[in-house]
Amino acid sequence: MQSFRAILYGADLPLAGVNVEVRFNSGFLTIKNPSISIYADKITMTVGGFEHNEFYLHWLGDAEQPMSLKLVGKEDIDWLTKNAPAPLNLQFNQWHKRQRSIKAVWGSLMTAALVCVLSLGMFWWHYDDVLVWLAHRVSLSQEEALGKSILSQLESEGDLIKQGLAVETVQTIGKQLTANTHYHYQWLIKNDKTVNAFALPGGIIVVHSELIAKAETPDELAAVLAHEVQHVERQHALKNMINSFGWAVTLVLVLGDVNTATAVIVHQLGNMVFSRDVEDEADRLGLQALINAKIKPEGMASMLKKLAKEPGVDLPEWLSSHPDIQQRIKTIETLLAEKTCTECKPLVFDWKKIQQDKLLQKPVS
Amino acid sequence: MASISYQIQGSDLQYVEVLLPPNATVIGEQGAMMYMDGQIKVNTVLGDGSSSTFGVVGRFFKALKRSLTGESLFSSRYSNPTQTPQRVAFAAPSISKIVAINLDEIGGELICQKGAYLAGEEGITVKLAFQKRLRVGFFGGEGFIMQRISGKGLVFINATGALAEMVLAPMQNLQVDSGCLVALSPSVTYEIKYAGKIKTALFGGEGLFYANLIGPGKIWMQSLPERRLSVELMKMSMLGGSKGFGGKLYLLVIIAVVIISFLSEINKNS
Repeated sequence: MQSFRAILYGADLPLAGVNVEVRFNSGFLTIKNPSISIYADKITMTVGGFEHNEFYLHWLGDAEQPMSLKLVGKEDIDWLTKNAPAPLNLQFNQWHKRQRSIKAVWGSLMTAALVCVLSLGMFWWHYDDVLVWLAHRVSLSQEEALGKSILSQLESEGDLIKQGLAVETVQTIGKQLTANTHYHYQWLIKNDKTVNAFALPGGIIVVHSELIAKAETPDELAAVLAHEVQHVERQHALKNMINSFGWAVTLVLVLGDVNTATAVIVHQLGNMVFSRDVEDEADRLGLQALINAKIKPEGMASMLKKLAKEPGVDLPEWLSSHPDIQQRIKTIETLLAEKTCTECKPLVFDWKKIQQDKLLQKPVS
Repeated sequence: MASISYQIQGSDLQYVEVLLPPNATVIGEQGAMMYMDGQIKVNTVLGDGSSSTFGVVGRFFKALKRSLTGESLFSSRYSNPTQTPQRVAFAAPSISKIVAINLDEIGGELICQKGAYLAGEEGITVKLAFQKRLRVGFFGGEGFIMQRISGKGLVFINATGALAEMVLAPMQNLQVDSGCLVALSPSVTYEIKYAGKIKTALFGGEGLFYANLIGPGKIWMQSLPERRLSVELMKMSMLGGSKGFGGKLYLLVIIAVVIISFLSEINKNS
């Protein structure tokens, strides 16, 4: 290729420009029609056009009128960058730089967007691990303080029992279940006519009096305690709080509404409901804890069956955040069949006497 | 095919009357038609009615991309099946002037601000012209998306306020307030120039940047960008029409009431 195609613009030429063929002849740029010959060092080169990807050569004509040459195709630009005389050559770097910088800016923008999307995806994927990591950042004393603050609320309601035969029994069984732990457990009974037990962060476990009344053997109580202990050991309540706090922060950021966010936190604090996965984990680990403590683990299934018969779940199953109890019983029975424990023995207590503990019979305030 | 002739009517709020010779077709934006002769046949097409190698799906995406430039998803084809010339008129959608541009004269391509296209001869396509340079996209006053109108023949574009057209000689440099640029031929270099002094930027009322246009090529400018117009109208409506001190006082009272109620809300909560 000896020449390249271009469009020539000038004051006395049509507005749309004229298609011309351009040659370089011993340092001179020559065009046939209209006849133009200009020495290369009089030519300046710019990058322009709407997209800033077009290549222009400018010079002043014979009557000092400005002229411009726009290169048409990529091949022509390539040819010119290779074959242009020396004075022009220096200016080409500019064009390459401009091209590169546009590419670099968009490239880095795309990379940043991709990194954002990927990290969001990774965060979603490893959300549980993030929760675990955050929960581990909370020190034991902070966790205990958190539990105590909730406990003081419960105390103000005035139905807590802290001594007596029943509490002592719960403590004895509890200690057996929590042999190797760094938590300082506190075992309490609450005078309440619903079959329930719950764990607060930092190792506070509260059993409702009705649960002791409904349990037929101490093994069944031990099963419930083993389950609740796992909620403490696995920091489930704490994770729940971090989770809802995270949602609250997101809500504040997105909606800018502090009231909604506060409502979410308050709801979460007042309502210690665990997800199905968390309950399953507590069941599974609780069963193992019973076996480790050499307590007969069958109580777990029989206690759950009793719970299933309890009225008082006012919401339909699919609405309540309580996991499907029948499914839990099935899972536990499969686990029990797998893990036969020959060394495990039933707990020996005077169960009738414990159930008749006077403190448990107090009317609910 | 005889070429179409046109007449732009009205002084500030304009419409264009197009005289369609036999068998000619003109394509107009959805809802732009003002009146037409009884024999004109109207047909609604997806996008600009051009075909795509990807069939219907491709045409739909083309139309979708076109709609991003401020046009509607569909456009209307007005054709004259008779042997006598027929008229069809298109009105500008807002306080606009209409300018007719012959694409053949400027090299078959034109870049316009969003939503500038009003009507054009058959075969003219409106495509998305994406501004790849961040600075120009953010501060050029036209955003990242503009229209690339290409083809042969006449195209009608509209812009608010008075319209000025100017031919830039090679290397000639013109600084335009951002937002005032309506259209430019693609050989014009469109850059952003920093206003130079913070004082000018803050108190000159012109913003931090100018659009810097370098020839060769032709440009069209509008005297009153829609944004400026809407700000002005908004101000007037907020002040209830009176521009005196009373009007501003009224605004101050509103602001004071809002602040006081906000503060009392905070006190209540704390």
